[in-house]
Amino acid sequence: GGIEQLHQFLNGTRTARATFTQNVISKSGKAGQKASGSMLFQRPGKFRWTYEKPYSQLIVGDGSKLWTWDKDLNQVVVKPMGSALGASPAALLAGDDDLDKNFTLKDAGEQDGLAWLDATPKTTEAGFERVRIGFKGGLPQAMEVRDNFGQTTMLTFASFERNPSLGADNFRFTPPKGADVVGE
Amino acid sequence: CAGQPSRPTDVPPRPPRSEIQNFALTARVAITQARRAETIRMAWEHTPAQDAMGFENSLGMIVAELQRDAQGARWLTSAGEKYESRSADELMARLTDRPVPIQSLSLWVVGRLGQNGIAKFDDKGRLLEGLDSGWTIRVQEYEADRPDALPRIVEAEVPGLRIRLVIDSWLL
Repeated sequence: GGIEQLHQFLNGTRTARATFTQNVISKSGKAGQKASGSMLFQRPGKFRWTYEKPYSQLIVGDGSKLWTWDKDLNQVVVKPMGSALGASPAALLAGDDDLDKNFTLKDAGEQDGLAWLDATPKTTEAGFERVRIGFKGGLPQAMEVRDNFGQTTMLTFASFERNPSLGADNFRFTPPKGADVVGE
Repeated sequence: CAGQPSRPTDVPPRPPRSEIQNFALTARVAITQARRAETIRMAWEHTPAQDAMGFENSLGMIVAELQRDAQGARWLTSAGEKYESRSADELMARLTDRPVPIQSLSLWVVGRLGQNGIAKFDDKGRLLEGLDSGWTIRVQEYEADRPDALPRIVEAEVPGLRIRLVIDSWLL
């Protein structure tokens, strides 16, 4: 089932690389913004989440801080890693035991050829109601994050590589010249 | 003169700014203030009678909602808390540490100022920079190189707080 594949994945995966598409569905079922990009992670706690479309935005978790950079806004926001959980699903996959420690896991059966699991946060601080992760061949293929207002973000992964070698620079953030860097 | 990256052909003809009473926009917002900063997405539906603002993180998850109507204003958080006030401007201080004039903001984003605003215009007669109720407003980019174009990047600043919006979509 989903939980078994999740634990296999977490135990056997130190780094990962994939592309993603992101679709937001509002509470009323209206399709919201579509976005796409690529992600890397290195456990525990480091990840790089790059939005390429419809605009350029980068979220880097370097293990202690969370960096968010938006090219058009020309601003870099630095925050403690704690707020990462709600900022990027990569933080969930990259966490060492985040999922077991902070979530109640439940197998959610087979659908669309994937084995799903439901992860419900144990506290309200996560900022969302529930995450569903769909596995196939021991790799995450899809994630659905439902927030506390009933809006759902659907993520699908593609070209998922397990344990590629990733340079340390991927998980360091150097603010671009001229960008405002603000934050804790 | 403010820059224009957009392809004019994508941008439909726009009504005169003074006639724009209702709009819906999505934007990315950088809020920069002394003690903290946020990069957040905003979906805003505005009419003279109502405002509905949804604030989302990059993942599209709603972190807070601000609603204004005849009954007053309400701020809802993702932790299920609800704060009420007579004024939506006051409730914005839950995000920006100080009140933000929502009614004025609804003018600035379409490239207008209030009655007592002092404006500087570009060579197409569009707002470039201005002063309005103590705020400095700058339109850094328009959606197209046309006199009727709407702003794409707008900045509103008072000492200790700067709000920069990159408007990704307009619905009039």
